[in-house]
Amino acid sequence: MADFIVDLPAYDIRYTEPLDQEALMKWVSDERVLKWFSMDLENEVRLMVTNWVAFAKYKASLTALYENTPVGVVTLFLMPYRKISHLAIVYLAVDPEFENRGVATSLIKNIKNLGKNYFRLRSIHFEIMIDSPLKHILEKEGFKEIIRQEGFFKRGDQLVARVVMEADL
Amino acid sequence: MKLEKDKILVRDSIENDKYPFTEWLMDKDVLCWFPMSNLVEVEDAVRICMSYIQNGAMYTAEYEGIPIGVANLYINMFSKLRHQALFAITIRRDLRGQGVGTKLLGHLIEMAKERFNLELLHLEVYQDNPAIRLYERFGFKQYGCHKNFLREEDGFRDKILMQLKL
Repeated sequence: MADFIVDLPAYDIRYTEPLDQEALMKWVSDERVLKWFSMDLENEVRLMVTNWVAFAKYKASLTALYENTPVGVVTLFLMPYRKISHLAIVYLAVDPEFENRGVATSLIKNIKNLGKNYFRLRSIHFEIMIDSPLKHILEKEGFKEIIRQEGFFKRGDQLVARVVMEADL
Repeated sequence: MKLEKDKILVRDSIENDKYPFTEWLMDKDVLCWFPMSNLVEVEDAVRICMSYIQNGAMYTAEYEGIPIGVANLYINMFSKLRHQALFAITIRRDLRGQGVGTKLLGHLIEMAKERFNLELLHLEVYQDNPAIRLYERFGFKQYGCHKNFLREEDGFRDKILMQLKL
């Protein structure tokens, strides 16, 4: 398998479909991915993934495919109230077997386009753990740290800061 | 109406409190401090807040048996977030500045510590909200600001984020 897959013909991006929930559930249940999310137990993961994929019906979610198999999902969690409908929080997960192959970067570029051109958003933001590997990728894609909250997450006995990374569209 | 502070009582909320709660929020001088902008959005927000009754995390201030304010802790069910909570307070507009917020916030902090064993309380408030003074008086410190968070007809307003370690 090639190291960097996003330029290959077998790589594609489409709108997320309800059946992608199964793949997403599998990735975020993997300890390598789960440690970067706020959920922990199986019922927490199931609840989160169900809410996550629900945004697919608004065409606010994209799935990356490699050889017709889902390898990543990125989703705009659209705000429910008019006064804050100009912004959205973003969730992203990549199949741990496809990490470091350009999938996250590709999905971030595409969700920025979707947010700007289809939903007319002014900005999007991620809420991540301060030590998340996503932080570096977001910085490269033009996101800036705007908020840091110490002690927001508790991973085992360790308190971990929450960082909000925002990009204007 | 002039309130006597020692007659302001705080109790666990009940389902019927949603009616005065909705009415207070629909007052334009109250609603301007919230992200909602019409009855449908307010009813949605009230429904979410009222759902915290079931785990004992919503409280009503009353005066001579009449509700005058509410507050709730958004208790997290996810285990990595269970040590902290966001909260919100709403007070009937004509009774602001008479100690209702002080009473509700004091009760929230007590419940956060004793009922939920929380380590961190935090809040989100919009720029220029006079309630910021109340939070500062209780020791809340600003840790962030989300620029242009709220879009009003006349422009944008920032969201101020504050927290208190318990």
